[in-house]
Amino acid sequence: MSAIEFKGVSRRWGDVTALHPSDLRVEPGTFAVLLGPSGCGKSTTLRLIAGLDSPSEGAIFINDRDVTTAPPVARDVAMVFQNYALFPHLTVADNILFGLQVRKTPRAVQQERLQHVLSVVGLEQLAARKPSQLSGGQQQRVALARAIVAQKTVCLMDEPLSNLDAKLRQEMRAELRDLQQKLKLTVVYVTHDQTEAMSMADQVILMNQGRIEQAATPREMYAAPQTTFAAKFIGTPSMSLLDVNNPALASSAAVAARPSNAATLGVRPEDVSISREPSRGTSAVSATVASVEYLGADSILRCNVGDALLHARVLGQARWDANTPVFVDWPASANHWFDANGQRVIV
Amino acid sequence: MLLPALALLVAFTHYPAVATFIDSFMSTPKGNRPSTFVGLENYRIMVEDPIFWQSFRNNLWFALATIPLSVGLALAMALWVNARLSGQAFLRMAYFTPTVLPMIAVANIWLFFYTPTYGLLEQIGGMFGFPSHNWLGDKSTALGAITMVAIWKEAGFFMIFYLAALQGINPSLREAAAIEGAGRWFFFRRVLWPLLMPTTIFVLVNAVINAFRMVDHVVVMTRGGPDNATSLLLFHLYEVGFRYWDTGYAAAITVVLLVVLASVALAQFFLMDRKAHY
Ligand SMILES: Nc1ncnc2c1ncn2[C@@H]1O[C@H](COP(=O)(O)OP(=O)(O)O)[C@@H](O)[C@H]1O
Ligand SMILES: [Mg+2]
Repeated sequence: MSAIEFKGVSRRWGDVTALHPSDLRVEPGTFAVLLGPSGCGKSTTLRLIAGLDSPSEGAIFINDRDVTTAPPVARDVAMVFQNYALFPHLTVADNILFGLQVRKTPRAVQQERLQHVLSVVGLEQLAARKPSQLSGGQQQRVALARAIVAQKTVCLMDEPLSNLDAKLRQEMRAELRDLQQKLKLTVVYVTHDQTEAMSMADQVILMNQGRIEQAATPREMYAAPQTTFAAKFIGTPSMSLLDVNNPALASSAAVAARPSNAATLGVRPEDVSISREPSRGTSAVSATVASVEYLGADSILRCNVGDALLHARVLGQARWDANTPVFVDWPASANHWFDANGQRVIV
Repeated sequence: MLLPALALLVAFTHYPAVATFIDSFMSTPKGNRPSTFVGLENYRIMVEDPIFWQSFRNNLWFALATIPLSVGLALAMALWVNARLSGQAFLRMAYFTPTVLPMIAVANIWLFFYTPTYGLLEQIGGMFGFPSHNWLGDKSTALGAITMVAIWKEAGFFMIFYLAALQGINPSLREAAAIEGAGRWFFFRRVLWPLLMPTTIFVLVNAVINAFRMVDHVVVMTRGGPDNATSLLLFHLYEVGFRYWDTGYAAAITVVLLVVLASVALAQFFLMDRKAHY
């Protein structure tokens, strides 16, 4: 069984294609994150799940039921909007109870559930306030409370933390994740922030220009990016990509032993070791430190390898200066190979 | 620093009002006879003037019909247009036309609709076999015909305010309500109507003022006839003041008109102000 499933779903407006025909599966009770740059079709995908938009082709299943043509209310989904979409004239309590009032839930039940969700999101004291009297973080909690009071099994969130400041965003990430676990919700969460995605997700669905680039756990996504796009998108800084025909790499044993169809070599910054002397005459590649970004515990060195750029993560205490000639090396197990189309080469 | 502003305010609003109030207790100057203080004489004439009372009654009916109908129609049209707004500039234009047109032009267009035997209404009626009818010439339909014109003109004008207000409402509110399964009517009653309340109050105040202020189309279409059936307060005032040059009596009517408007505006202010805040 899957909580959400797309079979060949696409969405077009005239000659704009927001989503090319795509397949997608989200398991029940998991935290799935739709990740990708702005305009890649994340919101469109979410709105297709919610029923706020309908696909140009394909079929959508929620809890194994075909809901392709069903209206939002018949899909058993709740949603948290990017701008929260709180009703400005209603109190916090009335905002949260809006859906229950639509469904004419008995008053006693409404009050009981209201008190419960207010305590879950920590807003007991603010039930009588209007949204304009709340801070951004509090408004965010009201939107969250409104989504969970409905007790739907699937909760959709479109960049819910993007309007909060950095510190609050960090706190809310952990809180959202805890809440999802506690309520055993299936969450589909949209973000363009890969750190957010990697820290919260059970499953990351990476999108690019209306296509699903890769769907995997954060660990898999990091360990084995399936495309150069995935390689470039994940990690701070992301994987360095080097052309295998770069003359500066000629001395490298790794490049010498490359798969025949490999066009690009990828190396993560933390796999790169750096030294002033060639280490026991092995496959080290000579490079020049271009700049140093000191981060405390570690530093990021930007090194020029021929005309290409290679990032290396080194300990913070080690002192490196710009324009120092160095030797860079990495173990063969750290090689990621991609073919001319940017697809991962399996070795 | 307040003085220049105060001077302007006094010169253009307060002085005329006070002068009118004083004039209403004075006789009308005639030939070499100057104006003298006559007390409530002008008001006595008014109370005994059957045309004043007819105009007052006409105006009351006119207001009672135009205010709710034009506001209701404006809201309905705004909701309808708003739902289909994307990229339909032409449609929007069609609705804005009434505002751009001066009332005199509007009246002329409607005059053509109402013209006996070859007017548009006659021709359509004729197609369905209805007997010919002189809409503006018949005492029983003239006021209704005049009222229709005002409703049409006002609704187009007020719709713009509603449309602007609707455009200002966050579209995700509708989507949030759709996710919760709120129907159109629930969403209107629980969300749109309260959010539109400030606009409704503004529009209502204007509708009331306009109902006692519109006179152009009466002048063009009926000149108050037939038999004063379409005479409104302001039209009567115009006749008294500028056709018979009875300035004292005209001032008295003006005072009554101002009192009516001021009391309605105050009542609205106190009754509805409370509901408009969120
Ligand atoms: N209603 C629409 N009409 C036309 N194009 C749209 C519409 N909604 C989205 N798009 C287009 O589809 C693409 C994906 O949009 P969206 O899903 O909002 O991206 P994201 O949320 O990833 O930033 C964009 O190029 C956008 O311009
Ligand atoms: Mg988006």
